[in-house]
Amino acid sequence: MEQFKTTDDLREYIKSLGTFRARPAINGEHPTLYLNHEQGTMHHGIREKDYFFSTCRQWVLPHSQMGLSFSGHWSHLKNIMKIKTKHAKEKPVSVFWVLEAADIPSGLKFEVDADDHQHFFLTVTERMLTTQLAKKLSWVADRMTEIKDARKAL
Amino acid sequence: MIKFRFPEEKEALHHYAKTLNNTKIEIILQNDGIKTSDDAIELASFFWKMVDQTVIDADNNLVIAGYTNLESLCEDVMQSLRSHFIATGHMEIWEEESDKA
Repeated sequence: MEQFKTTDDLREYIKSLGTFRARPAINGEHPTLYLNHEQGTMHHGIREKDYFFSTCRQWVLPHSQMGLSFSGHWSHLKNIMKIKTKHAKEKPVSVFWVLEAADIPSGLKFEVDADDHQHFFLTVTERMLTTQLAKKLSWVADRMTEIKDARKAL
Repeated sequence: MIKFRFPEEKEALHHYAKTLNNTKIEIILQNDGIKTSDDAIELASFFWKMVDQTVIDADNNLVIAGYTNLESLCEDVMQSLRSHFIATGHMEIWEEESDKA
């Protein structure tokens, strides 16, 4: 776990990571799953809009431009952090990150957004049950490194 | 043309253009996006004001574009706008206005 006091400290640390994939989360939020239905329709903590679901919603189908969003660059991460920080009010906002080369579960793959090369989708590459995807996303979250209360640095 | 991933993103932008009384944003949306640098400054600046307003609306339990919590919808709108700023060559303006917000 890391903590930073200034934007420069955080930016330099983020840059030193190399090819990272990161998601900020407000205190109480899960890094890769949604814990309530306030932000749209969810299936086992997965936002319906993020993945290509079968009509019965029991299955998730491969799509190279659909998946959970991750920042792959400081500039993109800073934008997402700003939104989170405004919505967090007084709550801490942490940044969770993994290296691009880190092990991720089979059937998942980071794909660059064709319209924004600083943005990545954690896509599925093979048909899987929605419950399987939820477990894999939880697995990824368990292996992410947390930069605690990163909003202090913005 | 702004490529919105989800229709509620455009709905939210229209809603907040009216709420925040910004006719320039309505015109930019009608014109299918940024045509000038002034449009780019206006849209980027407006987006962050919209984010501030979504926080106030969440406190008041308002339902906007079908949502009571617009945090992830703001992220979706941001992504569509970033892609549009990149496609139209106005990313520098996006960064400058975002740093001011």
